[in-house]
Amino acid sequence: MNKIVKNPTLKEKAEIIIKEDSSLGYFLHDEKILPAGKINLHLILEKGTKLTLTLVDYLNASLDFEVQADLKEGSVLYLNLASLCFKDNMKIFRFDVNHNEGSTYSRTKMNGVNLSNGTLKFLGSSFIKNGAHKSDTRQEGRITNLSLAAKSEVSPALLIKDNDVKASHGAALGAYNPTELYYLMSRGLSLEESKKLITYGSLLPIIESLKDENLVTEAKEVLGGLKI
Amino acid sequence: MEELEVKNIVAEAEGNQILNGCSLKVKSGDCLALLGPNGHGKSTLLNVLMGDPRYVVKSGSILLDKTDITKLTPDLRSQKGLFMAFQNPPDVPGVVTMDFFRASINAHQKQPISLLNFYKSTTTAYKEVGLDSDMASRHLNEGYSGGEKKRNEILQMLLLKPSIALLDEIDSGLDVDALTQIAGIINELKKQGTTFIIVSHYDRLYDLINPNRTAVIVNGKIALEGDSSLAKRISKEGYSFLEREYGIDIKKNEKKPVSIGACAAKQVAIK
Repeated sequence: MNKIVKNPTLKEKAEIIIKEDSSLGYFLHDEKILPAGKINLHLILEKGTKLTLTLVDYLNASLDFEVQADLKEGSVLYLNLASLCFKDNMKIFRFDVNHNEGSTYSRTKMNGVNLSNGTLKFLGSSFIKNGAHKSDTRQEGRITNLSLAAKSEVSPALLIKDNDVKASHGAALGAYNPTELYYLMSRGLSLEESKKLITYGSLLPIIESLKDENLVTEAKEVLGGLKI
Repeated sequence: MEELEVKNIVAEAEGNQILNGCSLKVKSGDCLALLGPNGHGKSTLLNVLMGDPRYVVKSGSILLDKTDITKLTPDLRSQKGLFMAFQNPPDVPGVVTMDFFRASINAHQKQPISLLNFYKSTTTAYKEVGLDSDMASRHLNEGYSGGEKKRNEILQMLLLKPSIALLDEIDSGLDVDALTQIAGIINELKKQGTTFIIVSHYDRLYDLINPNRTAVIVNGKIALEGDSSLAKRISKEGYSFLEREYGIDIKKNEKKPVSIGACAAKQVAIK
C-alpha cells in the first residue's frame, strides 16, 4: 500500500494494521483537519512487514500527536517527522515504538523548527521487550530554535529488556551549530544564507521522502518564504 | 591580492589567550610553511585570519592589501579572496553538497553561474581531486572518510579560486598517492599566483610543494622566520634547537580538554 495524502482526515483515535509492505505520507497544512482533542494513531506491523510513515506538519495550530507502534517479528518501521511550530502554538509529538518480538527494526527521525515563542516537544521511546532479541532501534530528534523565546524539548528514550540488541538515540536542540555556520560562511555565504541552508537541510530530506512532486514543491515553497 | 599583514594580534577563545602579539607578513605568490609545536597557535592563527567568530581578537589588526579586515565576517573575507581548508571539516547534515557549492560560487560573482558551467567546473574539479562526482548529491561531508573530506576541501579551493589559501593540516588522513595528487594541485595553483599559508606536521608535503618561506609559531607569536631550509631542519631535529640556539622558551601547553556533551546529546549556543 502506498498512500500520500495532503490534509488527511485526522481522528482522535485510529488504528492501522500493516499486513504488507507500505508507505504512508501525510502533509498536514490545513488547521480544519484537526479534531478537538489529542490524536492517537496506533500502528500494528504484522510479521515481516515494512512501513515507512512520513509526517510533514505545517499546521498553524496547537497539536498533541501520539503514535504508538507495535512491531511483530521481523517487521521494519521508519517514522519520519518534519514539523514547523509557528507563533505561540504548543506542539507535542510522542512516538513510542514497541519492539515486541525478535529481529525487529525501527528508525525514528523527528526534525523541527520552532519559529517564534511557541513550544515544540519531540518525545517518545523505543521499547525493546523481553524476547525481542536481535532487534535494532534508533530514535533521534533535532529542533532548531529561531527565536530566544522558543521553548523546545527533545527527549528520545530507550527502554531495553533483552540482550543481543542494538539501540541508540540522539538529540540536538538549540539554535545553530556555530561550527557549521562558520564553515558555510567561510565559503562566502552570508549568515542568513547559511542559516537557511542548515534549516532547510534539517527538514528537506524528510519532506522529499513524501515522493509527490507537487507536495514537495509546495512544502519547499513554504520553507523558502520563512523569515530566518 | 598583493599583501596580507598580521599586526600584533592578541586573540583568545573561551577566555584563554592563544595568540600573544602575533605578527606576520605574506606577499602575493608566497608559499609559507607555518610550523610550531602542538597547541601553540597555528590553527588559531589560520582561523583568526578566516574570521572564526569563536575567537575574540582583543587587539592588533589584519590588513589585506592595506585594508583592515579584522572586523569582517568570514563570508566577506571569503569574497575578498581568502579561503581556508579546515583541519576537521564539519558534517553538515541535510545540506546537499551541490547546492552548497553552487551557492558558494554564486557568492563570489555578480551573475549566478549557469547550470552548464557549474556542471563542467564541478565535474573537472571532482576528477582533479580524485573523487566520484556522484558525491555532489550527498550531504556535505556526511559519511565521508577523513581522506575524502580533505579532498573535498581542495575541491572547494579549485571551485572558488582564492587569491590566498590557508591549508590546515590538509595532508592528515591522505595516503601517499592522494598526497602527491593534492601537492600537484597546490603546485599548479602556485604557478597561477595563488598565495599559500600551509600548516603541516610532516615534511612530505613540504618536500612536494617546496615552500619559499617558513614561519615558526611558539607561545602564540611568530618566533622565527626563514626560508625552506628552516622547515627541513625542524623536520629533522624537532623544535629543541630553538631554545638552544635562539633562546626561545617553549612553554608547555596546558590547555584544559573541552567537553562536547554526553550520551549523543549536543547543546549548541543560542546566537
